[in-house]
Amino acid sequence: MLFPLSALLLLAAVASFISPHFLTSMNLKNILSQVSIIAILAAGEACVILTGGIDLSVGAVLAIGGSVTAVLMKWAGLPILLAIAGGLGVGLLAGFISGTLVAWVRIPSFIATLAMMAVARGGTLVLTGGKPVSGFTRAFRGIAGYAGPLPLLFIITLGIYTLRQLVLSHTRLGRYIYAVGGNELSTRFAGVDVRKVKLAVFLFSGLCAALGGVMLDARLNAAYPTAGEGYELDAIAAAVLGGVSFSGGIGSLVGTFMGALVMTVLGNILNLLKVAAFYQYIAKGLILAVAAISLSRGVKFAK
Amino acid sequence: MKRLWIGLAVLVLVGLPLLAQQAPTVAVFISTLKNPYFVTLAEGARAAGKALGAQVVIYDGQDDAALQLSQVEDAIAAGVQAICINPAHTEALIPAVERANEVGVPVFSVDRDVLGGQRVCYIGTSNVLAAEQGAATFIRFLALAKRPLPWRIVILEGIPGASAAVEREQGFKNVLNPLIEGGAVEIVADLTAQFDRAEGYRVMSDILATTTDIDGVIAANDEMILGALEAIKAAGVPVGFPGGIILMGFDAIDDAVAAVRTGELVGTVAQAPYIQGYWGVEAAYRYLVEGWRPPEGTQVYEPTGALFIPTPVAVVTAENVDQVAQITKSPPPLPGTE
Repeated sequence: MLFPLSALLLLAAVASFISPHFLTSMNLKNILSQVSIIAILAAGEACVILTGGIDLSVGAVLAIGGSVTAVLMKWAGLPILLAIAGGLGVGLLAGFISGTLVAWVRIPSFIATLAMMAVARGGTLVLTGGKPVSGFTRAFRGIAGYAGPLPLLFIITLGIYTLRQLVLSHTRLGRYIYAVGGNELSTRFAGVDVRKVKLAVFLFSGLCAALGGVMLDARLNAAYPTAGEGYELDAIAAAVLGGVSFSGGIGSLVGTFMGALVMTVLGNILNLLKVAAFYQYIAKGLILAVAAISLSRGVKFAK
Repeated sequence: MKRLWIGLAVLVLVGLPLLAQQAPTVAVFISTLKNPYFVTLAEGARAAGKALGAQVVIYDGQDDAALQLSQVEDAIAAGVQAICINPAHTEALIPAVERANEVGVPVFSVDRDVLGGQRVCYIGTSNVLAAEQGAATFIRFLALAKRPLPWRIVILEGIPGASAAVEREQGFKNVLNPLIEGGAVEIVADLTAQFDRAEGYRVMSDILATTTDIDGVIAANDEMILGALEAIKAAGVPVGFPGGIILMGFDAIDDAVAAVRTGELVGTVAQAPYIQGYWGVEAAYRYLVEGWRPPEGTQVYEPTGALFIPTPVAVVTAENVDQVAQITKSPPPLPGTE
């Protein structure tokens, strides 16, 4: 957790040094809004990775969660809260299916969630007919508004992180999640039903992804079927940058959040500096690689 | 560990300012620079910046509306004075335009319009009209080839839901539907190939696996038709006017123009993205510096309600293929500047 935090502080220090626009309140608000959705996905992703699995479906589940919410509001005329519940329900369903496939049918999570990614993306296209659904009520758009200086999106994300960190550090389920990732076999011998632990993390990941979809709907005032394409990679990168070990068992949500912030701030700085589009890819890749090298060193000693 | 952090710091401190461009005026947000069409649009924007002495910054939205919104927010925070936006989505970028409106940064939509917020004008072509011209040319070649009726054709559609795909499909259907109803045209397949060359290849080879009795293929962009062309060649089926499968593209990207020259495509529709990019930056620059406004009597683009500055459209065929570069890369004077 210290590494990503120091990386973040360093990045912020450098950014404020080379761009006078970085520390403006407008820009800081922008960053907090921008980080929220990727951080929500990363929260779910990190828990899956902690158990030694991976969830490739978060981007597609974001799309279907967002679309279901949008369709329920716009086409079925349901009240906002019911529509959101419907969207989140679909996310939970996706997580339930992935979790069941992984834990009971014993398909490797990489494949199970790859399948879920295709099905969820296809389901989104079928549901919306491939067309964006847009123009929500002011009340719904309020989700992307502000509470004082803080974006509500950020507060939601913070809430999810706080809840989840409490679960991880203070409950039996939290200890089991780390235990399964650390050594699945001995956890099973200790009498833990590993399958239920795995189901729990996929349920949470599906819920987070769908919540991200609802938040993106509010931010863009539109749900579009290609939303969230490639976000699974950003979520995984945020978790791993934040010190979550790919082999499971090591890492924290605080670190994951820092990882998501590092990625967001990086993109923000490159935009503020008006770095030309093609160079942005290279700059991002280089900086991520350097950050990852230092992080993986720490992990090597730990395991 | 320490060395790595120092390395990171040096990389950021030394590298970024080198890459950065100072004191810009116009930010240009491109939906995706993976498509050569938009790369040409960006070239036009850059050329206008050079010609006029405006600073131009290009952002690559990677076809992701959320990313593009973030880029617009960042650019506004960085103090750009005008925005040209080629939105990844016509609706999902409305909040971005509204953000610019809030702080008084003028917005010009390019190639695709945004469906809300205040745009000074929309600089582009009507996809529907351009697609109608393309389809009409396609039909003209089928007629010239004297094929027996009905002509069996394949339509390759773009990304489902993308406005260009929807509008081009509309244009195709406006021309083809009466012919289908009259029995002159029969649809073998009407499928999406996602505006993508590899998908065009894959979808076309799947179709060819079911039948090779096809008279023509018309696609909603050149990437798909070029993929289809390779699939047809790989299947050993003859292509070209008049004996083989007749192929019609859309966008006039360089590869497609070359294929028109060799006769593998009968035509493609040139929308002049270069001029769109050029005019976008020129309009923004002149708006800021000279107080340019869309001239009196500027038409309104019906589907979106924006003031519409249309850029030229040309159907490229073997007859005019040598003048294409001249037509599509020499911007005529921006309306209202003469």
